Amino acid sequence: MGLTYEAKRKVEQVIAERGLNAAEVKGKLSLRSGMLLAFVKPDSPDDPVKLEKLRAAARELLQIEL
Amino acid sequence: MLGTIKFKMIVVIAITVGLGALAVTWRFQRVYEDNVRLLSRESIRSAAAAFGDLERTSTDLMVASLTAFLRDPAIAPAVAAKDHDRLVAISTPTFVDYKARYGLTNWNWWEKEPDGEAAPRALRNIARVQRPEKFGDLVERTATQRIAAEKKLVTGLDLGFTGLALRALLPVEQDGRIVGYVEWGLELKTFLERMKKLSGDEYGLVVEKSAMNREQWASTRKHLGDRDNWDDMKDLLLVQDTAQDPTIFQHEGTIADVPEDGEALEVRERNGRTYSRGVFPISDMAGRRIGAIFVLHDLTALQSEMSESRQHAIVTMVVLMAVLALVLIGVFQALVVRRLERMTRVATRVVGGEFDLEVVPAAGDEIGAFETLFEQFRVLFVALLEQTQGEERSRDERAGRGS
Repeated sequence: MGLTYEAKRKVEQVIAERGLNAAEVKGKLSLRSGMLLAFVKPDSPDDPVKLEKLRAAARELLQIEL
Repeated sequence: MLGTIKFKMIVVIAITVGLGALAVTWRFQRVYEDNVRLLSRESIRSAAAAFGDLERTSTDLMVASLTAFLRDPAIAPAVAAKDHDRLVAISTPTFVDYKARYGLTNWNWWEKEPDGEAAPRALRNIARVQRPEKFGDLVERTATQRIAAEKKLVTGLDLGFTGLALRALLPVEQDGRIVGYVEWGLELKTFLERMKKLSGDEYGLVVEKSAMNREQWASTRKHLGDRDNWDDMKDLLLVQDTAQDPTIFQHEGTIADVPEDGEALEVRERNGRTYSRGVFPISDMAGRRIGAIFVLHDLTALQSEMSESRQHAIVTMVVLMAVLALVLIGVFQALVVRRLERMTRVATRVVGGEFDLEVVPAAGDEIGAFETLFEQFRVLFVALLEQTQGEERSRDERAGRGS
């Protein structure tokens, strides 16, 4: 299981815990990171650049560390 | 917030409102100045017309009354005898009455010129009814010169020691022979007071100092209990006025500079009030320009009214612009901002996995065209994703069978 998928699961967990609109949050993170979170699977390869962008976006939007 | 179109619109509207207020203020100032010029010209025109009317009616009154008075058979013998006391006694009751009723200020009895002198420069005074103690002196004036030369009714303005007066002179005859002359006079202060009562304006009569005698003027002012104002102005002398504060008639020009139909001079602030100043010339019975009448028209009420109207107009304009701004911002919000925000939200959620979220064009306008384009783009994007997903699934399945 790749780091990107783990990050995606953590985001989904936070969305569920906070009762946020999943599509909207994922959409914002996807647009900022440059990858479609909806299509990230356990075996999806990690792109370090995009992963870092995702972390930065999560930090800003959700105030969490991925 | 600072970068939004809404904020930029608010800034543009605020600037427009400010410029509008400035334009209204400027326009009102121009209207005020135009009105001041108009009123000033009108006050000069009215004053000149009133002065002309008063001159005519006063002349008619003096001539008619004097002619009737001269029918008294006791008069001609007293004039012929140069009987000062008798003439004063006969004249005083009428003088007191006419002074109170019509403002008669001068009543002079003159000796006939010496025989053989057809056009004397001066006549000797028999009696001044208004000042009985002063008589017997030779007086050189246009009026006396004319009556002595013409031997018939003479009327008009004439400059004397006490200032300018409207005079009417008639010969006094006994047995068909001229034995002397009588003169009635109204000092122009009476005119000015009457004009003030009619118009509410203040008036000041100014003459050139060169036409006056310094010592005689000082003596007259002293006799009347008035301050000697000879040095108040360089070339001009204020001889009569209706104002509480005569310094408001100060002028550095000359009588010769005043146009024939008068001139509006300027607007002055004094003791919290605003006045427009104007002037028109007057001529004596010989047609010489001998003085000018300054007219002060109080503009305080007009100025206050204009200022109030200007404030109302600015407030009304600002309120209207503010309402218009709110309406424009509301319309802009509904027609543009909300629809763009909705498209942004839809795009975000589609990317976030809600692929079946549609954008329905709200209207057939420019934003509607963009909504339609956006929806077409979304459909293509979703189809591309499904195609990619399908290909990935097929590859995975092939890979699964191969292993």
